[in-house]
Amino acid sequence: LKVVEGEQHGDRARRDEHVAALYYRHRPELVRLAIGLVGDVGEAEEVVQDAFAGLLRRWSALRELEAAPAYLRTAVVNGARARWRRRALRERMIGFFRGPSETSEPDIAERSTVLTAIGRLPLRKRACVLLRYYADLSEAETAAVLGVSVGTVKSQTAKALAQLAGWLEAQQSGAKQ
Amino acid sequence: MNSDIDIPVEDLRLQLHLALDRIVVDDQPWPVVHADLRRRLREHRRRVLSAVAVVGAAAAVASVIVAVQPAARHSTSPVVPGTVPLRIVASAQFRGTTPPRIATGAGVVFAALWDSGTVVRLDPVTLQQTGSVRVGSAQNGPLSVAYGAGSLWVLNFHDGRLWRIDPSAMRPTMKIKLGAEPSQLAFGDNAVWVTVCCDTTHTANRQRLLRINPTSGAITGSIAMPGDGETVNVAVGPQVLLVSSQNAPVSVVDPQTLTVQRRLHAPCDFCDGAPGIAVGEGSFYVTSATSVLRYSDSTGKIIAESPPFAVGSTATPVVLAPDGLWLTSSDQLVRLAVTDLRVTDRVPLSAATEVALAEPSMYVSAPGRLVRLSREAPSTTATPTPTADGAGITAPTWAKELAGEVAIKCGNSFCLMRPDGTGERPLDATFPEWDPAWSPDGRRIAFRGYYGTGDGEYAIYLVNSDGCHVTRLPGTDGFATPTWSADGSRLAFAAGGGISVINASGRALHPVTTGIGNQLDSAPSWSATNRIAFVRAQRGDPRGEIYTMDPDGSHLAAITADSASYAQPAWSPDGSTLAMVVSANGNERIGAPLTIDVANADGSHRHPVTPRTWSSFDPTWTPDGRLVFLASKPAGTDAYLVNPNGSGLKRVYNGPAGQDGIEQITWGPPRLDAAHC
Repeated sequence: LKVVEGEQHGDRARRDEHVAALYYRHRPELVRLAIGLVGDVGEAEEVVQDAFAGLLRRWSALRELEAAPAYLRTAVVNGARARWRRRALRERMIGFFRGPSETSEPDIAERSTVLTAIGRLPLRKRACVLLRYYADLSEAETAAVLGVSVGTVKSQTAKALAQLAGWLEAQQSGAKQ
Repeated sequence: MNSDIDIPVEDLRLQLHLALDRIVVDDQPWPVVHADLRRRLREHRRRVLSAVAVVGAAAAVASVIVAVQPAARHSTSPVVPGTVPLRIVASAQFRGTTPPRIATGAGVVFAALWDSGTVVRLDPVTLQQTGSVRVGSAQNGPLSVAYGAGSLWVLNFHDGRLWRIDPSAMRPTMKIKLGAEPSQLAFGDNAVWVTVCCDTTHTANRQRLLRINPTSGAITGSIAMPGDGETVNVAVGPQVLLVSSQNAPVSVVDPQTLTVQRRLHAPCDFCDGAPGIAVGEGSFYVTSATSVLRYSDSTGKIIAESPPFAVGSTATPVVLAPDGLWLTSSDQLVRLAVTDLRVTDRVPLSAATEVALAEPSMYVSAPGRLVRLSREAPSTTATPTPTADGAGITAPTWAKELAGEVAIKCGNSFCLMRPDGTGERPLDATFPEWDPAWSPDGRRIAFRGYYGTGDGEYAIYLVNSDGCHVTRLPGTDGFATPTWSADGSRLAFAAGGGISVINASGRALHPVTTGIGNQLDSAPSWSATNRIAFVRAQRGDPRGEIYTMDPDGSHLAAITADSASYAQPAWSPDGSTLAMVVSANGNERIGAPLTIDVANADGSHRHPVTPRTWSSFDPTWTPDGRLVFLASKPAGTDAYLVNPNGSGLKRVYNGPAGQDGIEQITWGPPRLDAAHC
């Protein structure tokens, strides 16, 4: 599709058609990516919905339709980042009995070892792992989504994998005992 | 962490897909989705329009909007050595959480209050209200205000018109039809400038800039502006006008001929708002995603760029003042030199949005409040309004009888103040901040501060109570709830399921209890008699019990042992009495019934001091041995005072209006003035 250049700015109906098509095609994968990032289905759906609202808002800035999925992924990662303040408050509100580190395990993560481990990573490492190994993006594509260099993606991913391996191994050895 | 262990990436890929792909994601019909997206767009529009400033270049007032993308936040130095620091000398509180839009003129301050649909006139010194005019209804009224040609100008979203208001009588004298949805307002070059958008007759160029004669109200000119009409900013300078829009270059406009003289391309793709702009010093100032750029007004070339600049994620305004270029971010004011754009001053200020300048004061809006900052010596400044402090709480007059100093959550930081709300200053050491603990001499505060943006990216910090000398205690990543020893030489805190102790110098960190196995220890409180009380729970069991021990872990004693759940032990100042939160049914959620019980140091003679139906938590002691705690109710969370025998219960602070209430409070010893940084 040759978009957006050439379209009238006021052509909202056409824009909405494009966004609807993108919505049904990409939303499931984006929601699952967001679940990996924020660990909660409700929050993940909010993050993704905000990303699509942002796409509507910034439609005229898109140079081509093919850029939309990358924009949406970036918006999802940024949206997840923006939720960290709210998470800090939630840690406080739910977790004052046990101290913040012992509480507010995400609902989905409780049911999945790998997501529990991913959830312990800082957000950027978490995003690197999910974009590389769940969204199947290349290092360059991941770097573009996160707005960092390819070298940063390499190093963050390597460190994240080492941490994950350590945690998962400790968990497995604990389970065997 | 063992970095030698490899994880097979294909195995990881498979596990991720197995875990995530099985999650069912429901679809909704497009009309429902579309309606929701449109609602989010409207909400975004309202938020941005009501949060950003537009420029009026009249007199000494100039402002700019800065729009930036999220960036890392660094701790700040609150003052510049050798200068008198700006400080809050008055404040006013308003209904709701939308920051007021502000304008200065005719020797007074005007605030447009979106949440109440009114525009109010305020005394420039005390910020007490001296007049008001209703222009719409709650959350459907004044978008923006500007002052010029002896009138107050209000852009009214309610009727889509520009109102001219007599500032003396605070009555409208003219309502000007604009023909399209208004977005921004400025006054300068003897004209009122308004941007409108989404007029169906201008579909190809949705956004327009209108020039309006302030005397006749006639629209004397109009020009199409690029941009998608989401956010727009206007800055007026001598014989020049800047207009910036989201996702579009900045236009340099001749205000007489209404022609575009030049376009400035700022690197601000996907900024969350229109770039900030300012005119002056032979320059145009434009914000990019991470910095401020200075363009020559004669060549249009970039001649300076600020260092990478960490500011908030929403549009952030700036004032071009005689002493520099002031930017606000979510938690600080920053001044840049007008020539080379280096940072020359930082002032901690939570959630600041718009800035207006009227020498010698600077007025800054924040969610639901407006503050006046000044460099005046204390003896010449107005008394801060005691009932409307920066923490957004309301203190009764009798609170001045209370001893000590209070740390109370305000936004993401803490505000430190005397019990009557005076002497307030924000503690913007990290972002955000939790769990403050006053040192026994009142000169220092330990707290849990975030150093990163990820979950759990926090550590224990120390800071002087004047905000200086922030230090992160080494090895305390992920630790929480610090408490001081009676002599101030050591601290204990919850550390990964155990209790650890460290010297206040940052040395000799060592565990006292380890959290090995199923045991989880947290929430220590160190007494004047050198006992540490803490909560002990078992993994998988929601109930906690209170124990006490010596600081080396010896002489462990159970204080509670029954089917209830206990939390947040807090020693009285003399160490003879222990307060604690009790959940009779083990439901440890704030909002569920929680009482605060008081007992002897050995747990005997325990009795509740708060009503059983309340959700009470965060017990903290005043220096004279009274209890302060928070109580969460449907209307919000307020702070209460009670004697340890349960008598004298009364509310001491109301939570800020329009918010959930007070989030955390810690009482400390009387204030001792520390030397400045």
